[in-house]
Amino acid sequence: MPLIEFENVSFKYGDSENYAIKDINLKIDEGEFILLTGSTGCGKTTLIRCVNGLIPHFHQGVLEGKITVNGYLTTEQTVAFLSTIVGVVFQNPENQLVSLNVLRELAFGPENMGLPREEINNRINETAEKLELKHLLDKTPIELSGGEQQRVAIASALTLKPKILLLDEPTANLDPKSAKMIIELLGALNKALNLTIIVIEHRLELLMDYVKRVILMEHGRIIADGRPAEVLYSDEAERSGVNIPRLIRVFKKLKQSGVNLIFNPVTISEGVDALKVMSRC
Amino acid sequence: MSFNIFEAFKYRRKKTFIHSLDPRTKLALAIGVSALSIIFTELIILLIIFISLIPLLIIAKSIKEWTGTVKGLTLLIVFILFVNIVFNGLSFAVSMVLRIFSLITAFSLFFLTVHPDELSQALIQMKVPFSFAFAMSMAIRYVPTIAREAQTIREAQMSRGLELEKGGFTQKIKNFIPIIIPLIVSSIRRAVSIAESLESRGFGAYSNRTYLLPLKMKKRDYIVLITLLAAIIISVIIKFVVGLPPLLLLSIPF
Repeated sequence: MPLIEFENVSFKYGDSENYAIKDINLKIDEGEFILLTGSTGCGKTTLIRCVNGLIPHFHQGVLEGKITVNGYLTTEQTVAFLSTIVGVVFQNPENQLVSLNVLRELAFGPENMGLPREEINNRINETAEKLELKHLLDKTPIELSGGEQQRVAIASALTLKPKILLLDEPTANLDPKSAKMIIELLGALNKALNLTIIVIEHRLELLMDYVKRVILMEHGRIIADGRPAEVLYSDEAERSGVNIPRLIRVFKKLKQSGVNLIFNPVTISEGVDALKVMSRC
Repeated sequence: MSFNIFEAFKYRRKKTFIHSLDPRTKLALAIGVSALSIIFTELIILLIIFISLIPLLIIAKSIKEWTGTVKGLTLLIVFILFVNIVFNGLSFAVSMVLRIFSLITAFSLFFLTVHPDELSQALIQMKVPFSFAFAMSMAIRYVPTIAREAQTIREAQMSRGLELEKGGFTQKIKNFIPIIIPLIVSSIRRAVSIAESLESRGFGAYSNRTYLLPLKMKKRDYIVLITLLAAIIISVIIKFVVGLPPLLLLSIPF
């Protein structure tokens, strides 16, 4: 059974006449690392809100179809219950760090769940260790750098021990170095915890070493879904105006000019391999 | 001026005896001292109350911040002094100033030494609902964020030709409208996204919420509370039952 399943899902916000997402069919298995992309306003954030139940419980509107997460229908569960299965990291870390220090931020979710103190302390220690936050525990959010804030935001979702982590443009406010660190961290979490990760991102290049699947959206619909080598070389990707990594654009050009490629390279090392093969021919 | 007042009421992380007291003890202390300085109008007694607070400031290593508060409130203090000299005479005016000093000192001592998180935890343990206490601590959390945003909006509007210093008094107030309106709009947007994040971590979902760092009264708290209570009881007895000895009724003779 897939961990997340969308069956013919459409949603229209209460104050809008158009569907934000339309006829979404989607199956996601445990341990997948997925890049969700598409131009602004294409429904990515709406899709994510559907997974953790913010739609329809927090954002009112018309929801059609069926969304199942870990076997539970999201319409029949509360957001609080779903938060122990699905952790969400929103775009602006400032708006999700609500406590006056990092320790309390990490404790916030488990405290709300009414877990015993000992368990909360264990989870904080474990997560702070893993995300290298130990030295920041008594800092206030204002004292942290953008990258540190984002790491704390991720940690505060992880202390609820979710199976799924959703991230909405986690690198939007970060400098290139911190952005790279955050994506590396996600890759490590995906491997170490078998955490299912869906990340919305415009800087596709950063993710190419980690993701095995790309979902491309346009006007509320999924227009391509598959391995990065398929989706990012497709005409749909070209048309939708996503920021296709430079390396892929180079190989696409080579292909168009008649060079024969045995496979579509996505990462740098795949690109090197492809060039080696080409030079041998 | 206003900046100074805020600074002086802001918590500073320090390790002193006063900082280590339970916030509830310090709240009782602040309220107790305020009550005493309102019960009494006699110059000498108000002077004693005020002087007895100074050692506490020294122990809390907060003299500098306290001076900041007083400086910020100079205008108010001078105003009280003059109005009272005109209507009630010098002796009473000085008493009133001492009373104000005691009140300021008691409360700035409280806010300088109580971490906002401790304060909200204290409120929760005093049976204030969690959502209220949390709203208070979140308000404190977002003051610097909103201040930074106001600064950004100000700079944006000024770079488009907004002149804040132009015109008379009412015009100057009107000049702030292009800053206030965007600030309100962006704050409402921010509130929605904060709410999403709270909701996604189970805020207020279950009634058996755990508090990771509960407050516990220690021996030192009981000692301070008993001393305070004794001081209040003795002074009330002296004032209303025994009557004040003439020495304490002395005042400035004109």
